Amino acid sequence: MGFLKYALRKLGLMVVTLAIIASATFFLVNAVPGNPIAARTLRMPETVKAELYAKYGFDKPLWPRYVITMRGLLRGDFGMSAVYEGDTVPNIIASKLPVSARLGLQQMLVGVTLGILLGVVSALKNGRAADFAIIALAAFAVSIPQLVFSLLLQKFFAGAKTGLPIIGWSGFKSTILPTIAGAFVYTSFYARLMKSSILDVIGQEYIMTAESKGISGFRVVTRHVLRNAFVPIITYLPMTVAMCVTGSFFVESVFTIPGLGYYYVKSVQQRDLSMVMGLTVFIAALLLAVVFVTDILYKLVDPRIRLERAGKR
Amino acid sequence: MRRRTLALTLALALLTGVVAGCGAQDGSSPSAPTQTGADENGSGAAPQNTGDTAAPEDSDGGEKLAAVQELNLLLFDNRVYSLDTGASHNPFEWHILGQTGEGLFRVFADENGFDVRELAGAESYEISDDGLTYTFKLRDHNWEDGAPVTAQNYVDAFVRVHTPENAFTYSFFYQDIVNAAEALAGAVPPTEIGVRAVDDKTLEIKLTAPAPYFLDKLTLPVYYPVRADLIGADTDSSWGSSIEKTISNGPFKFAEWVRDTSVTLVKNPEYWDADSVRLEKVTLTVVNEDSTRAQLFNAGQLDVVSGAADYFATWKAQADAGEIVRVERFNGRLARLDFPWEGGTTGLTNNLKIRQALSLAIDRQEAVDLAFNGLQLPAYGLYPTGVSISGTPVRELVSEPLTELAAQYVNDDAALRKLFDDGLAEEGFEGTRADVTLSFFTTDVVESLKVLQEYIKQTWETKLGINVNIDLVTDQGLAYQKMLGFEYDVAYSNNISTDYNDPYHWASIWSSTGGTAQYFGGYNSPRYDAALSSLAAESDPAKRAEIYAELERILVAEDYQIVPIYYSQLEYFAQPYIRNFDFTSLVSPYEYSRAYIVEH
Repeated sequence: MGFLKYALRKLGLMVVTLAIIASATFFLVNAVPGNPIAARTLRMPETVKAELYAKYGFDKPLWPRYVITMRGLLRGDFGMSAVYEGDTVPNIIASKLPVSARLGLQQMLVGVTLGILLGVVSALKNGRAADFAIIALAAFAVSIPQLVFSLLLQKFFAGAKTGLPIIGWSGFKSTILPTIAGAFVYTSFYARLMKSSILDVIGQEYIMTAESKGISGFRVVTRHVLRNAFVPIITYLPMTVAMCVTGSFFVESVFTIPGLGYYYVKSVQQRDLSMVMGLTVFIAALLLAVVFVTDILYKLVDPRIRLERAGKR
Repeated sequence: MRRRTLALTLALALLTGVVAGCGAQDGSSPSAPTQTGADENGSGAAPQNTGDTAAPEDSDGGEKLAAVQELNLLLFDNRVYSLDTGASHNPFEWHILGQTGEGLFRVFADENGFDVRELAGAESYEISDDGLTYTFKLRDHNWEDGAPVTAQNYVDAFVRVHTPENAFTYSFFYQDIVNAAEALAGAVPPTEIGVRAVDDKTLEIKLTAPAPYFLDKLTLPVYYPVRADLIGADTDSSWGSSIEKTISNGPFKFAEWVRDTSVTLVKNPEYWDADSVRLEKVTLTVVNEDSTRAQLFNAGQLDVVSGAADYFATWKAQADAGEIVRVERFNGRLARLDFPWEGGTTGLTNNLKIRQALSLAIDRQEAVDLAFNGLQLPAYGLYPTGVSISGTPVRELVSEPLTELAAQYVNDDAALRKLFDDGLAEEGFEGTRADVTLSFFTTDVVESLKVLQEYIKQTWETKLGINVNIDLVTDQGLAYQKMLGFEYDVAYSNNISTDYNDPYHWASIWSSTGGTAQYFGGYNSPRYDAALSSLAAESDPAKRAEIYAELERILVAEDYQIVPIYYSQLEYFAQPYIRNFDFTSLVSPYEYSRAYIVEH
């Protein structure tokens, strides 16, 4: 019973958060002067201008528009793009999310795996040359702008020499460079996370116990250190997954990939209000859902939380 | 980090936007020396179906056709919003719709880069003696699904455009037509406009007043025939939102459209002149980064490139060596400065003498040499190169009003200062020129334009001894607010492209009743308006040219309402194996329905 109540409370909180995010987005986007259709009304007769404003709801004051927008969101109606004639948020998500999701997951898979490996090596070689090299590399990877890195990869690794396409998104080959371009962000984060986590675990008493029992160093690392050191990694992973599927502007832009990240940034630039609203709410909902599921799973899995509860009773 | 991302993003978007904006406007044929097909039929003459009999495997001009007839072009980003002809509103959309659709006319480029109108969907036409009734005889031709193109298809298109609920951006464009304005105002039903199908193959359009430029207005794809049976309700705005929701009657048809990414066209076998269409496939791809464009072009994966200025020096050398083709052409745009007619930050530029001093102080040649390496043409008038009056280039009939005055004043700082001082005195300004700080409003972050604007600022500061603040606003919404509120003393502007091949397009922008002048300073001159309306009764090209000259003189050299700086020219590089690729200048950037690729 206690668990159900906990879940419901979390769910309620999630809905409230989403409503706040939606409202904040609405007012922020509307606080900036101008709208996406002003440029098009330059030479329009007044009646047509009025029709156009009415078509996208710009004829109404802010508050009625807010009510209409929020009511629409509740019904899952995100409205129509004011820039792309006839486009809707579900259309865009259906066509662009799979692309961004694949790219993001590939980047994550490569990046996180590499990060974990490097993290382990770095922790085990703590304070030695290999460790410094890895940490320096991680710092470098995280500080080089993705735009620059993408362009460099494209310039030096795409084309006839390697057979990798310069731009485009068709077939596995075309995904290789974009995957690498975005992978190292995860690598550096997870390498550092893994390292500190392992060092943390190594210092624990049960490791000393294991070692003192005469278990071989390799077995200590695989059975005791790594298993426990993975806990923070597993906590972070769901969030990383949720974030990565929403795309990356620069990688998508450089390699001409029809993903969500590029579209999202562009819709903000174009002040395409309904699309910005719809996509923001969608992405926020996605992240919140992941947080929710993680919270629930965490509670189910982590015995300490359960024990605490039992103790309280 | 986020701020940097945002700034970069913004810079990137503006850069691509502006570069694309210039990039697509103009040009010529990269194959000028060997050009064969595009001009054969001549202006206005009906090209016969049998006119170009060369089968794809034939050689042309001694050159063998390549086995693969595929063209790869840039798709200018940010601009293709809809494939609905009625809703279309920019040259990037028109470029594609012009290749997949067929209206009454098509536009090709002549060897000098001037647009040439040819009969296309129309076989012939007649204009009544009073200049009010246009009757078009349609050619027997079909849609891609085999249905015949009928006059009713055209009527449906015009009705759609004039349905106020559709709120199409270019609905204002055909107000020469009887009842068009009334339909848009909701006073009469859109079906009452002066366009009717006399029979299946005869289209009649009635105008309210003679408009010698009306045929040129019919080069815009906005009115291209539509299939009401497929569109359904007039207000269905999803028409054109995907390739399934559009249909072709032109040289090409849609194979794929990936939003923001690429458009793929393939040859339309149902096209009436399909024999002249030798390209099998045209792929247009968004490429945001200059370095990527360069890499693709150098690898032969892009056939025409523009907007990658860093690479121009290398390409120029290659072009000089004959390895690639360089094309330099005008593109029907005027870069200029606007003054607020009333109001403004200081109000000083409401004064004629001050405007005059500011205009005459600028050495336009030096400015374009410095900022554009001489590519752009210094401007001393209103009508850009490329615009014609009834087929004659405007500058053969109308000379630029500012040329001599500018030469006289440009090195005479004393005279310029006197003008400015007199202006200050007239305005009752307390203080000297050194106390004046003008606000110079601009929206451009492209490097060359920054150089230009900085040059203008320094010129004014040095020659006139005043202060100038550059007020850079990169957000479009904010920019429009400033424009409409006249929150500037002088504004840089290059935001108008030529919609149809007649100076009237440019002259009418500064009409006090046209609705556009308010965006560009709010010019309001009864004398100018009167001269403009006197055009309505005039159909003789020579007389029209006189009135156009007068309008230009009033605006540029008497009222000094705008400061012309340069007429845009663009530089393209093309692969050497492309033939008959026309860079048209005014409505659409390219025309390649007769292009082909030779063996290489």
